[in-house]
Parts: sequence; structure tokens; C-alpha cells
Amino acid sequence: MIADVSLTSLALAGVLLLMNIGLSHVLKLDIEKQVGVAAVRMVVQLTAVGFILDGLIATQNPWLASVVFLVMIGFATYEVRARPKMMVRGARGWLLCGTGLGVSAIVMTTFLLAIIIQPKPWWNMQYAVPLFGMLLGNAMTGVALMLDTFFNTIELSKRAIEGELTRGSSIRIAMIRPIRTAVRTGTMPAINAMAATGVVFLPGLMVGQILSGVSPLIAIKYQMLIMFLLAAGTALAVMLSILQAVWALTDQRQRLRLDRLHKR
Amino acid sequence: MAFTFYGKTLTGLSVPPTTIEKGAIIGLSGRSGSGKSRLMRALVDLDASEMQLALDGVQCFKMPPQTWRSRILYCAATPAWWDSERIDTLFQTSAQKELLEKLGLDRAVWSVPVAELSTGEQQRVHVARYLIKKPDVLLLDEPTSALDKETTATVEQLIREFARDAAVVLTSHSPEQLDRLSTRRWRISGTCLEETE
Repeated sequence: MIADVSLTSLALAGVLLLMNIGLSHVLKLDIEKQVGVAAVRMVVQLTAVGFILDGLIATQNPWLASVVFLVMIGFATYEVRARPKMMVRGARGWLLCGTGLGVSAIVMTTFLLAIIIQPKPWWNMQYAVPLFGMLLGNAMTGVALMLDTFFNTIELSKRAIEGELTRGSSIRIAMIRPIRTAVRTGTMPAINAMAATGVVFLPGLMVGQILSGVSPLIAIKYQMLIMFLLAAGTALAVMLSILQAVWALTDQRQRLRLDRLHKR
Repeated sequence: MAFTFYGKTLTGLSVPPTTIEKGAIIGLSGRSGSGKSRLMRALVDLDASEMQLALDGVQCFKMPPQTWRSRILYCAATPAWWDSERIDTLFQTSAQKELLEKLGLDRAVWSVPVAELSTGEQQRVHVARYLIKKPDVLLLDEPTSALDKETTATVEQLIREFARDAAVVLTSHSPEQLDRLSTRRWRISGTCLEETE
């Protein structure tokens, strides 16, 4: 197992940040407050999460874990919904933010645990909780990027879309370009991460395994597994969400219904 | 072909029961903001309005929306393009290319993205995209607003030819143009559409 980090060394690392704050003060960069608040938030949030995870893994109670997973999906939905400059009004807006990432994280975690890693029992919290969090977080970033791009592009190309419709095209054909742009943007971080892994950066999970003594040849296989799942999970979440977004902004008569979009 | 409709548009314009037939060119006038475009949008079922629409007795909602919008075309006042669209990909047959030449669109601009052409060129390409179709009804919203006198005359002649096989509804800020082309006149006054003359 990897050695524990002492509180003294943590504090030492924190001093690096204090130096930054001092520098910012001297140079009048005006970022002291932001850096300070973000650092304090990080410490408080991670401490809380650490205790929750520790408790969850210790109890090994799948029902309790399900509740925690649902709360996590709720937070992720809230984050996704808060991000774009425009959003679909009402319950539909919440649904199209939450279902894609929720379904994707649940499906991918289940697949990874039950079919590939197969811990005993298959829902072993030590695996389930961190994997679920990682998959959900990646799906969240992808969906938020995709929705922001989608709503912006639709708003900008409203006339071109309706132009297609007024020449007898179906709404699917009329909207295909904004859909493509949005899906490409939403999946880009996941695809870039795959393409750059190993060359530009070594992922944290792999570094952790190597530090704790696992052979790099085993660690890379774990990493490939994770990358496949992250990319597939993000793509699934993005696609489920865009289907709902298209559905929310059109109607049975194949009209573009931007009146359902709320600007903030 | 008989296109019949009545009801209310999204801007609250009351439309009495009306029928239009092949060969008609209807000049639609009304002040700016009176709801001319909204009326046209309602007629192609692009707005979720309270209009009752029927073609040859078949109600709009009984037809797939693509069928409805292929039989009744709406050429909006403002052209809009996707980034990559060029004339030589939009128009393919020789008859279509002949139309472009009639409209004075030189071959030199055919391979340029349409979005980069001048306002007048864009308007001609825009209108041409609808004139190459064979609908029952064509709704033209300000089709010559950015054109010079000569090109306007060409477009007017094309509209007349088009109206041999279809009905045309036309808006224009030039009363003279409506006088020259129209076989019937509609006017929006207040919240009512009325037939004049």
C-alpha cells in the first residue's frame, strides 16, 4: 500500500500556496481572495468526502450507497443545468441535464464491476464508489459543454434551420449541423484525453498504482480499461442528452420551438 | 389546387376564411411590424398558431410536416446560410444553373461560400433556391428588397412565370411592385386581414 501522507507534509504543501498569495499581494494581481477561498473549499469538501467514503466503504451497504449515488447524480445535474447561458424551461430542462449522465454512469459502473473487474461482492464499495464518481464527473463535463454549445448554435443558426424546414426538409436534417457541432464539443475532452495519454501526461490513477508498487505493464492495462470506459461513458451521456435536447426544442409538427428556451 | 385557411396567427391577426388558387399573385401589404411574416410562418405551419389550413380539402395536420412544407414554400425575408454552402453545391441541374445566369449571378461567385457574397447576391441565391422547386404555393417575403431596378425586373418576370403553375403570395415595401404584379390584394389593418379591390 502507498504510504500515508503526514499532516506536516500537507501543511508544507499548503505553504506553497501561501507563497503564491504573498506574491499576488506584492504584485497587486488581486487573486489572493479567490485562491484562498478555493483552497479552503477544497480542503473542507475533500475532508467531508473522505469521511463519507470511508464510512461507505466500511459499511459495505449497497442501499446506503445507492442513496449516495442518487445524491451525486442530483449534484451533477444541478452543476450541468447551471452552466449553459440558455436552458430549457421547467422539468424538461432538469430531465435533459440529469438523465444522460445518470444513466451513463450507472450503466458503465455496473458493466465495469460486474463484467470486467468482478470484485467480491461485485458491488464492493471500495471499487464502486470511486469508479462511479469518476464516470459521473467526466459525463458531467461532457454534457455541460455539449448543452452550452448546442443551445448557442441553435440560437445562432435559427434562420438557417428554419430555412431548411421551409424547403421541405425534416427537422432531423435541418438540425444535423448544430447537433454535430455540439456532440463534437462535448466529447472532445474525452477524446483528447485518450489521444494524449502517455505522451503528454500520465493519468493520476496509473501514477498511483505505479507508486504503490504495481508493475507499469499491469498499470497501463488498468489505464486503458478506464480510458475506454470514460470515453464511452461520456459519449453515451452526451448522446442521450442531445436526443432529449432536440426533443425538447421541437414539436410533433417538426417546428423549431425556441420559445421553450430561457435565456439568463 | 385550392389552398384554404382561416384563424389567428401568433401575433393575434384575424384571418377570415380565404381560398387561393393556381395562377394568383397576391400582394400582401401592411405596415412594418403588422404581422406579414407571422402570417406567412403560420401558413407553412412553422408557428404553432391557431390557423386552420387545408390543401385541396386535406387538413394540414393530416399531412406529414415535410409534405406540407414542400407543397407550400416560404421564402423568408432574410437569407441564412451554413458556413460551407456554395452555389455550385446548392444548384446542380442545367436548368437551375440557367436560372442563376438569368439572375446575373456570375460563374466567378459559384465556388465562394454564399455567406461571403454581397447582400444583393445573397438575396438572389436565396430566392432562386425556392424558384427551382415545384410547390403549389410560394410565399415570398420581400424578395427584391436588396436588388437594383434591373435585377428587380428580372425577378418580377420570374415570379410571373412561376405563377403559371402555382399561387404566389408576395410582400413588398414598394406599392408599385405590388401594383405591377398582383392579381389580388390583401391588406393588414389593425388586427384583421382584409381583401381589397
